[in-house]
Amino acid sequence: MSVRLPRPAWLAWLRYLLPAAAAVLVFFLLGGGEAELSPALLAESPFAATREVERGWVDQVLPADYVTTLVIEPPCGLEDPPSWARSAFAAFAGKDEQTLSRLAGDNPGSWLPPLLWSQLLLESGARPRALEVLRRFASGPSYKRLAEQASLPPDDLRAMIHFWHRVAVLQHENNSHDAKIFWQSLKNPIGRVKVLAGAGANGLPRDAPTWDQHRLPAPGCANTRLSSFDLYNNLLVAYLEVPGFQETDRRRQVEFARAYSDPPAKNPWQAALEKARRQELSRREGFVWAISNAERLLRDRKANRLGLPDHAALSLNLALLASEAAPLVPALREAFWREIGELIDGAGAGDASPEFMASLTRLRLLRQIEQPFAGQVPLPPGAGDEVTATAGRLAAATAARRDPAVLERLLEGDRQLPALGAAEGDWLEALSQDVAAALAAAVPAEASPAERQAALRQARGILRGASPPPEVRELAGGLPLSTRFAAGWRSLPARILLALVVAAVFFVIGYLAERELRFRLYLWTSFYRREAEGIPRP
Amino acid sequence: MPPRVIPAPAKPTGLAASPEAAQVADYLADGFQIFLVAGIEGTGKTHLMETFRGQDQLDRVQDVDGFLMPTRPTGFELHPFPHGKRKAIFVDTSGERYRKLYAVAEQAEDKPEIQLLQVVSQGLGGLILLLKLQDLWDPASEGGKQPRVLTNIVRLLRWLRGGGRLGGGLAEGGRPEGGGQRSLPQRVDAEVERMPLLKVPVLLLISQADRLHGHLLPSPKNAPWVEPSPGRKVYPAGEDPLLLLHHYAPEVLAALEKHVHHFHVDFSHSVVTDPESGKVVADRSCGVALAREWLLEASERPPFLPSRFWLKLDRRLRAARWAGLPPSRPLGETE
Repeated sequence: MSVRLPRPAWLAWLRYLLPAAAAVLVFFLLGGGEAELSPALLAESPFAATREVERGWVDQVLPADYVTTLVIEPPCGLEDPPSWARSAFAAFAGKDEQTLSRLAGDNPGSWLPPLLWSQLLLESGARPRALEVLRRFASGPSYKRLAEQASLPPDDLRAMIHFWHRVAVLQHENNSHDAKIFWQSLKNPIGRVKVLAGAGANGLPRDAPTWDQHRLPAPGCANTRLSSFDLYNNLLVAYLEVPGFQETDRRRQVEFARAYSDPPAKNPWQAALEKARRQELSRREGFVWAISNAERLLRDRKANRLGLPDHAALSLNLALLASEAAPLVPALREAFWREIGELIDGAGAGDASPEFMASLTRLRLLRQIEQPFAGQVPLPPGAGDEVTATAGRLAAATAARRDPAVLERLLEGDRQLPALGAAEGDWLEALSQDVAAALAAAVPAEASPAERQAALRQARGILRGASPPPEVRELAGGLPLSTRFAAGWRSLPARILLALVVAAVFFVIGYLAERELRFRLYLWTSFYRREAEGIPRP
Repeated sequence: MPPRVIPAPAKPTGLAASPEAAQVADYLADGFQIFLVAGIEGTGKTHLMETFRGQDQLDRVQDVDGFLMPTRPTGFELHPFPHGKRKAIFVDTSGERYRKLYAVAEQAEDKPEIQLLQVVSQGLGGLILLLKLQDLWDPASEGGKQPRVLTNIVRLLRWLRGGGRLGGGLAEGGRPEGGGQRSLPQRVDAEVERMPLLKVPVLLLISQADRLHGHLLPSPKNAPWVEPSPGRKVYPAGEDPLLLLHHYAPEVLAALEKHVHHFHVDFSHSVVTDPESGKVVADRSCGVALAREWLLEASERPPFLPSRFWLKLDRRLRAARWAGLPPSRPLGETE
């Protein structure tokens, strides 16, 4: 029987249990004891990074899509029409494209055959052919005179407004932005509205301002659905969607100049315009022009106590534009979103086309991000699964943000939002960054280094290894390196690292302690007796 | 590996001039760690080495008359023991030569005995001290060994603690201490006490424990520090060797605590006997294998805390068991 020096198991465990216990103790001691997050602080956090993540979800399923309007109404009649014109109206009534084609060829200087012919084609859904007919007229002998001469008879003016309206929308739909005729067809009719007003023409008031909505009936017609806001809306969409728009310096100066300086809260658009001029002009000049146009329109209407435009598509597009302009001036976010809310309400159901409803849903989802409310955004019939899932995810996320108790649990690592699915990680990281930023920003400038260190430690504990936002970096920047390091002890990676280091140290301590205690045991052990006891007795 | 027999001393030249010292120096140069086996003659050093090497013969142990197996006539043996990757050599000096070593008062440092110890001290891995309690308990035996046993142990420990550079411990030679001035031993003591403790493990073995069996504990006359316990007989397997040393050889324990960093006290080199009849109940020596294991382990990975730390603590926490020798415990009974 082999007898060995005494090595009790409890002594051997000392070197394993001691480091394990020390590591667990360090991990949890450093993790606990953080100051409670103030509900006020959580409620007041702007949640900038979190909202950015949530906006990303909306962008994925419902990208920003501005909506053009196309009103196609044929001329109703002419004063003293020649015989070929009567034939043209008769052919239009009989849907005789062949005759209208012939008449267009025989009368290349007249707008009547191409307007009627393109009307037939548009009604039958042949949009590319209609655009071709209209372009053919634009290349004809009388177009230049009609396009450039302002003092035309009212019928000619009205006909050209309808012509340009069609050409502009069809070209934009067809993605064929012929530089000259495209922008001409968008801008000229707006100018012609003023000419018509100046002429005191039939149905149009004098000095018709751009901020007012004017009906623009086709020649010979008494009523119409086309208004100056349709023209204005399409120009806005073109500014926003046609890439590479550029104007001369002089025109920019004229367009962007303002003789007033409104309080930002009252006119957030002006502040956004200034910011956009500095930041976006070289990159997206059309965006700046769109903001400029929107600012002028809305300010003028407010000044004349007209309220927001009573035009669904224009309201929708203005709201979309406002949602893009708001991030330029974060301080005016609430003012913008108040106005966006009113614009959305003004847009109503609009034309209920899928494109319109998609954009309206996008805005409603974005509004929920900015102004969280209980419940879910109403979705249009036929909304896809992805849109439905995103709406559910947003409802869960924004509801969580509204509740400080839920927020606190989330920040402590208690996952409670299964509705977020795979997006949960990014969202929680952004959330921790926002709360840490709010915490760092709440530290007054005159705070003592100890208070700053405590706030930094708490912020890092919330971040749990996520990259620190600028506010936290700024707070850390004012502290000495050693203090910053000490404040970082409570982050998850730091706690793991420290626990490992402590475990290693205690392993060495345990090893040494085990050896010392073993030698103490040897001191009181009689090896003679131990060996004697190991000998089998007869 | 068989023991090497050292030839008769040649003419000494320099530090390692003696053949014994030269031989040890050779082993030292080969990377061997040296363990010195010390004790006066008749304590069983040679038999311990035989047992270390597994050549223990029970019949030889039984043969009382022939039990003392003197070191070879040359008086010096080296016992190399391979122990894993370690190379250890046990230096077994003849008890007789030891006696001479300490008996000569005015030793010059070029004496072979001194040279040997100086070489040994340079590569010392451990020290085995053998102590025969009967020598202490019976002052009349063999011409009164008691003072010599104690003096030799204390001096050797002190000399080794001094790193073999101090001759005082060996040179005092039992001189009377000088009047009012500090004597040489006092000066040496003062010098040694400023030096660090002897860091090598010291194994103090109470040898021939089986012969101790049934031995009546000494009378208070011989051991006045012990409470009278008439009829109390020694049963080595049931005794606590550390406490036995504390009560019956306190000078030795005090010297160990004073000069040595870590040590162990045990019975050894003895068969186990029946507590009643004294008959041998097991056919091999006990207290050898584990003692050697302890020596090698303590030499390789010594503890940080000195043994005296634990003893001091134990005296404070369990003062009762230091006051008197507890009754012996039969085998199988736990404390």
